[in-house]
Amino acid sequence: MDDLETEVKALIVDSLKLEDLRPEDIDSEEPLFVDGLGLDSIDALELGVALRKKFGLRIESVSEDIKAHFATVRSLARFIRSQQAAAAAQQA
Amino acid sequence: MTAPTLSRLFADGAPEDRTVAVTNGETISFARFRADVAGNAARVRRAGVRRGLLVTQDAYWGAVGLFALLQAGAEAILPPNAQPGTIAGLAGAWDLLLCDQPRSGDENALMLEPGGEGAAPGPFDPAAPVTVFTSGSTGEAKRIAKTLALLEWEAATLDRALGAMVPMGATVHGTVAHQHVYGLAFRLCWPLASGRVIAGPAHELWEGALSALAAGDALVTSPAHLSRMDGIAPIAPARRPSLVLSAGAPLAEPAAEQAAALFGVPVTEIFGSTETGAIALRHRSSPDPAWQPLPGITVEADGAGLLRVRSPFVAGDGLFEGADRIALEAEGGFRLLGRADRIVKIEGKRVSLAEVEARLRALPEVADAVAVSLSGPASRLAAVVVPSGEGAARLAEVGAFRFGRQLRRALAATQEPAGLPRHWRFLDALPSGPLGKQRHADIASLFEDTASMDPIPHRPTEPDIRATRPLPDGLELDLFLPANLAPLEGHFPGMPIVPGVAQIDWAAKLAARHLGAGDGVARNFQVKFRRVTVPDASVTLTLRHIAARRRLTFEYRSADEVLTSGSIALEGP
Repeated sequence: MDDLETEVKALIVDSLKLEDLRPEDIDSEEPLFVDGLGLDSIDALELGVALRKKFGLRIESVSEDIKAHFATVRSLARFIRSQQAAAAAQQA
Repeated sequence: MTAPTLSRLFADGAPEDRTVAVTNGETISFARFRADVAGNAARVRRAGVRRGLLVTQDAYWGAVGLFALLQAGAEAILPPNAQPGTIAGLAGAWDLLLCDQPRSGDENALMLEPGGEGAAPGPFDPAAPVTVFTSGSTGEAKRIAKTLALLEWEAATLDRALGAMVPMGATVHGTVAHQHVYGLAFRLCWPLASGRVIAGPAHELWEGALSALAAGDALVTSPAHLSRMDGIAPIAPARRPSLVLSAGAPLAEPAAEQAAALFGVPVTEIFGSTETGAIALRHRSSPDPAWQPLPGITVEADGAGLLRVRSPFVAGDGLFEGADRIALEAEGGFRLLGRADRIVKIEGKRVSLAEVEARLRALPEVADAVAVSLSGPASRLAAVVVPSGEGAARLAEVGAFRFGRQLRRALAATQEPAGLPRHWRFLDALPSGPLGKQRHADIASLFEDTASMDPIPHRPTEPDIRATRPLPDGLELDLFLPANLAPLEGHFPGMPIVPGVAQIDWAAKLAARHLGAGDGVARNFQVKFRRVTVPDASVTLTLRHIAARRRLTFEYRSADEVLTSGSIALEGP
């Protein structure tokens, strides 16, 4: 199990105050919105706030379709890693 | 410049290379738009359609569908949303569904396509019908008949009121759907009629919306987005919008201030309804400014203080009677005192919760407020208040009880005694979430223990309950212990540890509240601390009610490690 994915799952459960759901109940490949976990657009906004606060995501650098990054826990973790790598490269 | 019109958009023409829209990375010229309308109009006409249901995700394709239906002489119907249930509920009201995304299961669906053969679109009948719906937050969505002329007048009026703020050729981005009147007017009709550019997609996430912005653009958004901007860095001057619009619900002052700081321009709020379209606007450059009616619109209060609007955008006789209570101000301005339909009975008196909130927000000590009536033997009025800077200073000085009493006295100038909240909670921010039952429940839950005021306001006194699972003889609760818990204050300075007295106190309170065991106070207990409990962590609390021995046992666990265990002798019921 990927640590970052576990962290993202915990963040989803905590930041959205999802009752009766544990982080381990979320599958990394499960769609987060509509058909899968069933998050809605307000949840997406809340999750955006939580991700910015926790991982310091920089949004100016996002040009391609952001919704694809928010599709699953796995894609979110990949997105966070790429953002962190970009930030590190900028500092170097 | 000639007056913007929609009915003569193609008849009067425009430069062939004028940019009409940007979508999917494509720039759409006026010539391309005309060809898309002509081609799809011909397809609609071939289908012999009288009533077309327009289900588009992209505002550009919404515009193509709308004008194709007008060109084909068919009624355009914009459903409140694209959910299959909604579409099914409208069966019988339409003959053909026009869409921009493949849909499964819908018969009679026509996918809008680029280009094709068709007659050049001519002038459209200003009386052509366009049907929209109220969003239907309560009960069934209501059908509202409009005409192209109404949309055209509204677009022209918005341009008179706001056009000078937005450069010609600027792109109009949105986070709201274009099939509701607000999005239809601002994202579709106004840009088309006034020489601005439609941004096709509606952005659900800030990340997408902000990365699309260029300097001078306009942004059509709502409190749902504007109140969720934490963590966003100020927008660079080279990308700053000229106009940020909000509508749909009142925008709280902290969100208005944050948005103004991030965008470098104050939010412009629009007040309106599906029936009337936009009625009034206000620029949030100062706290709670009065609303100013749009040019040509008259706002009056009827005998009961309810909103009455005379507007050329209202179908029929131009008169609309609303459910909002208003107070007229100098120079045609007005203030909203809230919906007349949030009326509760307190001590036999009718009290408008919305009015109490509006009066609270008008006080200098208050940044935001929600009023609720608490059920119980007698219904009581309660208020949750986010103090302003001034209020927070007063609160720190005099304490929660006296601060609440001071607010009561300030409200007494305008409210009958029944309209003065008896219970108060002071928070840094209101519980989030859309207005509705859940939010009401969240607010009401803040008053579960109304016997005592929070000794240290601004801090939670109990852990967050994340999940509960019933046991045969008790309850298991997943708790999160926030680091800012009030009971941590003063204990073990510099060392974040959850004190044992707090753990015993929570066990007693939660048992009383959830199991009805005891009176919530632990007077006689035994406890064993096995491991240190640290805050900012999740723990599981198991409560068992040993009724025969009149005892409550409790156990705090982290993973499978027992942190604290003990028992409390039950007194009271």
